[in-house]
Amino acid sequence: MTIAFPQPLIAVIVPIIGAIIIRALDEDQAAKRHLVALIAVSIVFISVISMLPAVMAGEIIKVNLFRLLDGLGLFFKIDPLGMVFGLVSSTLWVFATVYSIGYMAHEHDQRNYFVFFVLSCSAAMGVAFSGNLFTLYIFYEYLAICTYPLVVHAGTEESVKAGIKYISYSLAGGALILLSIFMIYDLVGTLDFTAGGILGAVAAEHSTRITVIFALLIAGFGTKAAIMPLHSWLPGAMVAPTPVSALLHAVAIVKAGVFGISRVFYSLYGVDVLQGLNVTNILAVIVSFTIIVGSLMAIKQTVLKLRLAYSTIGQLGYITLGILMLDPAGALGGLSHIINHAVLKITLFFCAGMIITVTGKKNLDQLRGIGKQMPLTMLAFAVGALGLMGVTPICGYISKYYLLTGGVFSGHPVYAYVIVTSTLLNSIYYLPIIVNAFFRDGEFKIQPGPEAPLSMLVPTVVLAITGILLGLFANYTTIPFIETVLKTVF
Amino acid sequence: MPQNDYVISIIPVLVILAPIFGAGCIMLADRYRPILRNAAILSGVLVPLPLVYYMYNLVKNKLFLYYHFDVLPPIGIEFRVDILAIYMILLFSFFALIITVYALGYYRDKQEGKAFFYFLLLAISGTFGVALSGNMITFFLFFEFMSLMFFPMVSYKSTPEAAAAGLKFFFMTIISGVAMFWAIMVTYNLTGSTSFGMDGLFSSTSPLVLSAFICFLITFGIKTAMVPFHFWMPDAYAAAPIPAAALSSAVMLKTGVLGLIRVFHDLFGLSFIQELGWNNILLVLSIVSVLYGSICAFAQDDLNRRLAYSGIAQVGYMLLGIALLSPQALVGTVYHVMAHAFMKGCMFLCAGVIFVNTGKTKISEMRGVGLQMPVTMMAFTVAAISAVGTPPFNVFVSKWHLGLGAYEAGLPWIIILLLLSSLLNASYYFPISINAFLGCRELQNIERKRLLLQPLRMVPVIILALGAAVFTLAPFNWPLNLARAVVNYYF
Repeated sequence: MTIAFPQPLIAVIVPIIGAIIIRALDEDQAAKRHLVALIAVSIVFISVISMLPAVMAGEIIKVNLFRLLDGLGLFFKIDPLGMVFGLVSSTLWVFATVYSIGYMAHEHDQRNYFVFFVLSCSAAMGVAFSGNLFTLYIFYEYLAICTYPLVVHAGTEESVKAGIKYISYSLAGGALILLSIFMIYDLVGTLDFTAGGILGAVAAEHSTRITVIFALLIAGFGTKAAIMPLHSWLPGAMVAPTPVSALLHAVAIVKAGVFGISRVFYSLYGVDVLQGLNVTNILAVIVSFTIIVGSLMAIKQTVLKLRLAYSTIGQLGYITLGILMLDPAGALGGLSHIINHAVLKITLFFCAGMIITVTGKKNLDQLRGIGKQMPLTMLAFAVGALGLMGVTPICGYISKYYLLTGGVFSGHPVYAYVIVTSTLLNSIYYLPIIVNAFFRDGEFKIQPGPEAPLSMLVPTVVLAITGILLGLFANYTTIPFIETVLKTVF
Repeated sequence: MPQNDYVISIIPVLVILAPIFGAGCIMLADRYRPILRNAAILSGVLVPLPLVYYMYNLVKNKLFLYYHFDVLPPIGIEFRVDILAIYMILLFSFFALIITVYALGYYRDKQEGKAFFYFLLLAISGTFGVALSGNMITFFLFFEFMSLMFFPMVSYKSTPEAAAAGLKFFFMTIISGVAMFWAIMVTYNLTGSTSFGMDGLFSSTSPLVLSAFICFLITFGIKTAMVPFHFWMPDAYAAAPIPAAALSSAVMLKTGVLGLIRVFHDLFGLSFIQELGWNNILLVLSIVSVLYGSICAFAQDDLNRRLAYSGIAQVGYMLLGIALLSPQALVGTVYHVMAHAFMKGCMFLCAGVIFVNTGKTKISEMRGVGLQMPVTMMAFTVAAISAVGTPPFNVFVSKWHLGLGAYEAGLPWIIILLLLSSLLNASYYFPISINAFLGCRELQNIERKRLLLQPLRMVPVIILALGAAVFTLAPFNWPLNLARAVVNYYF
């Protein structure tokens, strides 16, 4: 076992150590607990970003942990695609940890919360760096299990119910992946993620079997990616504390699902095989349905967090749609939306969390005039919402631009119509929030001092500004990054 | 389109940044030296003026300005100052100053207008950016920015009607943004460029190209309140504070006209559109706009609403001039951009003065107001006479060229339409003035308040009223010469 790059191991192990230390501290040692959590996630972030130059240069970092059978074992491999997910999660984890410190200040049982919050970071890194489907599966289940306590943190009957729903969906999805692991191993004797796919050789003779495997994998990962009709755990899981909703349900968990799907497409099957299989059209119908219906259901919601949750369902559909276009422009749109949606949606969730902390209001009709009391929060919210609608120069437009390009010029303009329709639906459910916040009179008054605890306000504002900068300077950030991924695929 | 020399210059960027910088100065002034607040506001609109004059001198000597930033992929931001751009920026920067000064007088109560000036300056910066942009994505960026900054001004009064009008405007902005986004995407992918000044980028047609064209029409149709996309405008103008309505009418509508000229002459190219006959779509819609706006204006009793509907008709003229695709008609359009800005801006500012002094917004309540406020109503009357197209005022010149253009394009019956619409204009504008001066003297009973800052409101009104007449009476019609230069560049 040679380890030229210890960073992947550090990224997975340091949070575990951090979690153990936090558990060992007393419940009332808040300052130390926060310090440990921050240090742990910062180390993860630094170790991830230190690999970025090598990965961008085309190097593929491999770390073999141990081997069970030929082609089966725990195995880390950091390629550009894994780096996208790893970098986004680890960056946003730092923000979310700072935010959690402010948000959880008045909650019960903080120690428990931080233990699992830091632990999930390790799981997410494992998902990002998995080198084969088996490792991905292990960390995927690990992620599901250690986020379960976060979902049920409130301890109410409602949250327990939502937690059971969440964990059963996750484990059922995992079971489907496990089943497909057996079938793939049986077929080709390896599970390694390889650029260009591993199933190309057997595609011709076993087309029925690999179609079945494809369906199993998509259903398995689609559970986390909230593809309808497998989405219903996601709105339920919004009972979790807001930083958890923000991070896990806008970034880590749902993106793990989307990331899994992109692994299936690019590292197991390969674009050529999928073009021959002709299964993407069926999936496209389901995903388009998800996008439209998710957006329509978001309009119906009266609770802010639920509206954001349904919006997430629609937005995740964009990513999947971009991937299944099997076209470089579409893929660029879809994969860059992993980054853009993460930054913008976490901003929205952070704003929702600040509103809950400062005013205790959750329903949309209670938020009239909130802009008077919390102008910065609602400005950040406006940036996030407009960005997701695709207003330039906020980063969401990059994804929309390439998704439209991919749709129109890969010969499936219907995808483009879906995206345009959904953009209009987005505006129907986001714009009234902004207008009501600033231009309706409510019970809110200007308060002295900062409008929200600084540990919450600062990350939110920084993320909103990041959203704008990522849009303006996508030439130097998102696009070259994603193009490195695509170079290995197309 | 003749080729010109270019000079790489950052000046256009400075012009755009100056109002944003001014908005920042307001924030600093509020915090440290409240007494400098007005100076900060004015600096935002005064600083661009010498820069614009500098650019004008360069362009006059056939030297265009150009600057490129490699942000906002995949296309990048480009600024390009050609004759049309300099015409627009001269107009926009002048009106920015006038309306800002007026707004200082309109908001006598500092607290009430506190946030307004941020949005005003930012929206002004957006309009400058639109005028100076060198490709469609830059245009799009500033167009959206301008619209998003106008939206808080529409809702500024925080009444339920204002919030509803704002929301309506916001939706229209998003729809127009989506349409433009689509159009840009198609243009860029088919032609590899969205830059202006290329004399047409498309060489062959397909349903996609048509979809891009229609999406551009929708975008700019929404901004210029072309029928059937007009319905946001009367509500927005009735709800918005007067300076915002004036800014929108005098400047922002013109960005839509500018966009259409860019689409017709820079992106698609004259011969391309002529060959396909797509201009007929715009021709029909513009004629409908002219008639519909004039007829609806009759029914309005709210002065702002009447002005808004009349705006729909007036913009219809500008669109008509673009759709006719003849040089004289385009002269009419470009000249009317200026003529309309002066006369409609003047009317809106008069409406604001009346509102501030008497609290009246309904035309039926304005009987005799001319005896109370003779200068204001004189200015209004001058603007109204110009609006109808009475010689020798500005609008007559634009209508004259539109008529010539229609004749050139082989559609002489449009001249009859122009006459008809002038009659309609006369019949809804003149009664306002007649009532104001000759109506019963109800208002005399109302004590006329001596209000602070009256000069700040009156000087812009008087300047605009003079502007409606001075260019045509002067021996040298400067805007007309510029308009001809624009058209010579395109034909």
